[in-house]
Amino acid sequence: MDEQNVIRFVPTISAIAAMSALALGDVSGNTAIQNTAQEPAQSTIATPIFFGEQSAIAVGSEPTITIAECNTETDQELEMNFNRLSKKWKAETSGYYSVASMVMHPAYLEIISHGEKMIPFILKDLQQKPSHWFIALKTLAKNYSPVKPEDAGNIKKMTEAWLAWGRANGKLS
Amino acid sequence: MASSPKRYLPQEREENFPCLTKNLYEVTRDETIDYNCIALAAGDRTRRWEPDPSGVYYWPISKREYTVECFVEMFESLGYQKCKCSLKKRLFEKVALYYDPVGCVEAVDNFGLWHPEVLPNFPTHATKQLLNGIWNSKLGDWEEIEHRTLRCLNGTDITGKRSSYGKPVQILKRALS
Repeated sequence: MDEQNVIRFVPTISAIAAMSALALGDVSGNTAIQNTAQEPAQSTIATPIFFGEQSAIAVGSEPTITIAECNTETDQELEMNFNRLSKKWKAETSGYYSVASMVMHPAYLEIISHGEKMIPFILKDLQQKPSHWFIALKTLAKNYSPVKPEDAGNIKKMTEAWLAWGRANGKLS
Repeated sequence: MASSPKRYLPQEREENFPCLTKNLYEVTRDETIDYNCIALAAGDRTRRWEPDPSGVYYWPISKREYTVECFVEMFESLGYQKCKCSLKKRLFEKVALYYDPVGCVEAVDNFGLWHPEVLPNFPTHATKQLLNGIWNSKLGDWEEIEHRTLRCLNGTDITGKRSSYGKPVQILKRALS
């Protein structure tokens, strides 16, 4: 396994909080989980900002785990991986009451961790049936959103805006 | 309540709410992700209201936090004020906020990652009282229901396998216009 092509993170609560920060607000141009090419031992984790005091709830520290060999995956493998994670996410979060909880699901976070190459698969899924992919898309598009401010929360218009953006940028056929 | 025949949640969904028995509720609208409980309580079925810090979803005030305090501030911005009584009063409309003091902190998945369906002290739900005193709730992305009591939706589940709303934590009222 090529150490330089591996995304790693430590599944501590601080890492989860960092991922949530990435997904829910701290998308200031850099990904919270960085490619380890310059730092093979462990990733740099962004400062957790989202859950504040609640991020202090400890669930224990685990050994570093490998999430994916992103750069060596073919598109077909990546799509299969997306479909598996997407199915798991949808199945296990259908009753959740808030998007905050949904986007904290490990499968959703793993999709984000693969980077912008997941965007075409997300858009394709969004085209088939609207779902809560908007935070992932905004995160993967480096904090860009094609949705007009007045359309925030309008699922139909948000979906249309992202699909139009995908077509215009060659990410959706 | 709405006209018959009455509709109910699928059993696997109903099981998420141990206090929700068929004599106390009925489904009034089909499931949709177009709006959520907060939006419904605020009288809006056209968009989803969420205080996500990334600003993806609609939220009418600048403060964006998943805290009971922030949710109260949001309803106060709509003209509501805190009150202690959930009984129907002729000249007022009321909403109730739920939160879960326990959460699902024990739910950990195969990666060893915390699976936080319900974070402790997260506001979990909002419901609006109708003119007949019955409460109107949108259950996440699931169906919209009318239920006779606030307690109907009480519940805590630490396994992470179910949705749980905890319990009502704040009632707010607003003069009917």
